[in-house]
Amino acid sequence: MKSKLILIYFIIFCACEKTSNPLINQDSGETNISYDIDFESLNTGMASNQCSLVWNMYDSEDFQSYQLNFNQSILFESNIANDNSYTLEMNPATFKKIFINVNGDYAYFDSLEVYTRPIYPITNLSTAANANNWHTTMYWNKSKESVDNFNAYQIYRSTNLNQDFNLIAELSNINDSTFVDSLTIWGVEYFYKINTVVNEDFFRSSTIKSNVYDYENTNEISVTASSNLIDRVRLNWEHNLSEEEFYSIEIYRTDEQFSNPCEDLLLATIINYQKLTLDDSFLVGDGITWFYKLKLIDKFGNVNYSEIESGITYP
Amino acid sequence: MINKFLILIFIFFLSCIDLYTNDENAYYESIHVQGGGWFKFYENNLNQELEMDNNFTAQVWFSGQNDSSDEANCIVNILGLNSSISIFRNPNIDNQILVYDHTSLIAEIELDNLNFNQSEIFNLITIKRESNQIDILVNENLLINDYENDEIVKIIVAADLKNGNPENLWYGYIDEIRLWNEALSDSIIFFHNQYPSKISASYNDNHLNNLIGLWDFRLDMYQSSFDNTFQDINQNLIYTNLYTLETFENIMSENGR
Repeated sequence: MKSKLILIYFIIFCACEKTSNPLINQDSGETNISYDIDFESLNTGMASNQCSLVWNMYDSEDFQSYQLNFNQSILFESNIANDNSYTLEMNPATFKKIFINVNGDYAYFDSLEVYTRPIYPITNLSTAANANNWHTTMYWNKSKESVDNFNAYQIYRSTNLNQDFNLIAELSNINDSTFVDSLTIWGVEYFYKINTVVNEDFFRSSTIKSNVYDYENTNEISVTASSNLIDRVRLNWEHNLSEEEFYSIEIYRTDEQFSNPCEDLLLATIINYQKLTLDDSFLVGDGITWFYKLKLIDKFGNVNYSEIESGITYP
Repeated sequence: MINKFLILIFIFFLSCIDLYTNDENAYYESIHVQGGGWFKFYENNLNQELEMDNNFTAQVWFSGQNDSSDEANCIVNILGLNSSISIFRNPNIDNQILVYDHTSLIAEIELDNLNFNQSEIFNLITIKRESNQIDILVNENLLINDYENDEIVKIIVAADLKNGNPENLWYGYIDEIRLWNEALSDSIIFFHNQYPSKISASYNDNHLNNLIGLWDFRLDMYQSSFDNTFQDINQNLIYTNLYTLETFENIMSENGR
């Protein structure tokens, strides 16, 4: 009886045994992966004075050198394989296309458009003349610049948009957010703007406000985005503002299909009227669809938006 | 004594259910590629890559999986001398397919019934060429219609070959691959979608004569190891080779359609 029991237990044991997923034979060769430079900046558009550039280390024995170029001038050169980063000093609101060569038995090339942000201006400027004494009171939201970098708010006034603005006051406290202009003549329309001045005398103007009227405009902007470029999406835009009317374009981006890009990443702020294209290489991945929306701001602070446009990085 | 015997019978009964279950699942159903495996096709021997020079149809039953990478995975690459038609999933839109010929985006389509993050849902991709016109379908949805291509092409599954190197490798399950040396009719492709486990309505169907390669990866689970070369299950001299990137692995899986 005991031996029968053992036999039954053995059958149960065999029946309960599970198999595991064996590995496919891994000895299959063809493991050669080409070197990918993956040239990128992780802080492009975030700082006003520099961009950090990084690229993949070329760790093969045939490594010779890295070289960075801008406008056919050498910015950086190294023959040390792990010397694969560089900090590029730049002025605010500057765009530069940097070229990289990685030299080994073969030469690898790539390029990257990097940029700095403009100085943060004051925002939401409002001005109103008092009907009794025509003193003009101004309110604004303070600049987002750091206290260390901040130098002054310079308040400018003009009676004619086609003439130069005159400096009427300078405030040294970054937290200042109001000013009263009492040197006014009753009934005269004045235009105001405030420059945020930082170290090294870089500055950014606000939009312009009248103490009498609100100047409203209906402006238009459209954008296209590429789907055929490796490691980037190229944006091209058009709008109907003249250079005199133009203030800035803010470029927003999201990877969420049905969300508003303006609630996600502010990718870049364009203050150069002549600039009508941007290569977005900021953590764009491969084969990813990005959704862009552009915000056009005129000199009076009127805002108009583009339609949402999608672009894809080539897989 | 009778009680003990009844208990043993009961235990054995449970065990038999297990046995029965094991018999039902005694085969692996698919290959789980995890960003490091891709298939190439050969005829006669592994030195001669299979080339399609006239009409053909390639079909792959596959699923994707949740993949947090920011790279588009490629399920099929049709590679010619001057053309490279690649079918990618979009990494941030779960139901979108991108079709490129080299760097030209030729289709960008979202399908309501698709979700590449769900590994248990299998889809049939069909690429057929008839009179130098390529059609691409995912399930019954036509992605590409009459796309001009008259080249001799090779077929790669689960990766995009760029300069001979595999890129954008697939994450998911490859359940079955079929190669035909004819352009299947719409009605046959419809039938394949309606009946995922069948390739024809009867043994006499003419198109069966043009099935030159069939791999269902249905392998005995009790086999201790597997070779990476798979012969056509009808023993034709046509093979697919599963290549693996260094440090990656592909595993047999019970997950199937």
